[in-house]
Amino acid sequence: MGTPETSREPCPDRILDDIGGAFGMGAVGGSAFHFLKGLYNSPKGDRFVGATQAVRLNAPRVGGSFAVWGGLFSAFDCTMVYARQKEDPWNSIVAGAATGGFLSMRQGLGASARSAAFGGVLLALIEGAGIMLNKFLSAQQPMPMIMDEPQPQPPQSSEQPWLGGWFGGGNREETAGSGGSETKILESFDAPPVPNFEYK
Amino acid sequence: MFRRILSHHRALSACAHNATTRSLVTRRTPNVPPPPTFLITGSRPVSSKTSQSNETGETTNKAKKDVANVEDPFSAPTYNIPEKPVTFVEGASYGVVILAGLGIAAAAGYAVFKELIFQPKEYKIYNKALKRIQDDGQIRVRIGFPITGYGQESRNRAARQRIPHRVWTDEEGVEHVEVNFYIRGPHGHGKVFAEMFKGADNEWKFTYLIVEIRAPSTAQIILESYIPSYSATK
Repeated sequence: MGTPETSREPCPDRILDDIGGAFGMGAVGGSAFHFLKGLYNSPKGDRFVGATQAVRLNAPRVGGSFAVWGGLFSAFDCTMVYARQKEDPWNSIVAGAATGGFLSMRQGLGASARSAAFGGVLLALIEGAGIMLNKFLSAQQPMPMIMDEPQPQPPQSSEQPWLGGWFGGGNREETAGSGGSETKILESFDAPPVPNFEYK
Repeated sequence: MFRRILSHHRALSACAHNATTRSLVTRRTPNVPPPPTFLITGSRPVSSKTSQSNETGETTNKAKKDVANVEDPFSAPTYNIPEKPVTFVEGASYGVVILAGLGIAAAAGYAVFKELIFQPKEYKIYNKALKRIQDDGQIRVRIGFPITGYGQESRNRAARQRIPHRVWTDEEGVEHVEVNFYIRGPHGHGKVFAEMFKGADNEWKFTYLIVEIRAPSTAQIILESYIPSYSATK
């Protein structure tokens, strides 16, 4: 039920998107790889014919295996999102391990555990590289945080523009001070702007 | 004597054969055939001798070839050893390649270690803030339960998993981390602004935690707001 806003949830529609995307990636990559391999392995007069034949034989198979892997990975990722109710890199790592283990379960429990560990390490490397790249890019040009959506109203205070767009009415305030521990008074800290207490 | 007589018989029989053939072909001079027959008989033992000598030569040649074939496997590795070792430049380049590979492996291992063991600060703040929001009754009443948190409004997995954040240090050297993320429940959604700082006891504390609910109805809720402890005697 409900508003069109709720249709912005990516799961489970993302699974089908990832299957198609993974198949495309595998088919194109497999075509390029097997074309070069066919060129190299064919006799002198029949290189192009051999390359096209190799592509025609192998590209759909590579695309199919990529689609299977991508679909399973996306399904496990959506399962993790539903179970944990949060999205962070751990979801991808666990989904990679689960996918590797699931696809090797037919070969026995030892091989399955080994493939799961390999999948988890691979996704951990990918996520780690992504985080390091993000830090490098953010450190290279220090800029304020990006705003994804345009502000519905102009900001009322210029101290922190990303906190703008305060709405009036229905404000409830709950201040929980930390009375248990004594801390220094932060004189230089600028508190967020006080919300207006207008009622409609 | 008998041997000589037998040899004469053989010669006579050969002459007879030759005479019959030549009589059929030419009938004029019967006296000419004897000398070529003698010549032929004379050349045959010579040819036989030469053939025998050729056979012996072939056997000796075969023996020599066999000896050569037997000797080749033993001498092959001795003759195929290169004269000089690889140059220092080649060895150095191989060493450089090996070191480069080890460097790449070490960098990847460091990235994994840092990402797995030492979780980034923005994810720590994100986890604490999301747990605080999920356990709060005011948010549950408005957008329902369970509440999901994600970084950005996008269908891309990496974009949703990345939390916009900013890290800064104030005058007293205290580190502050600000994060923005989105929350979504069964009945609505909103955006969260949170900031935490590391206190004197090395624990993260909320500076503020503001939830801006946008659906089903707009609302602003301040769950956390830092007020330093104040005593009149100070």
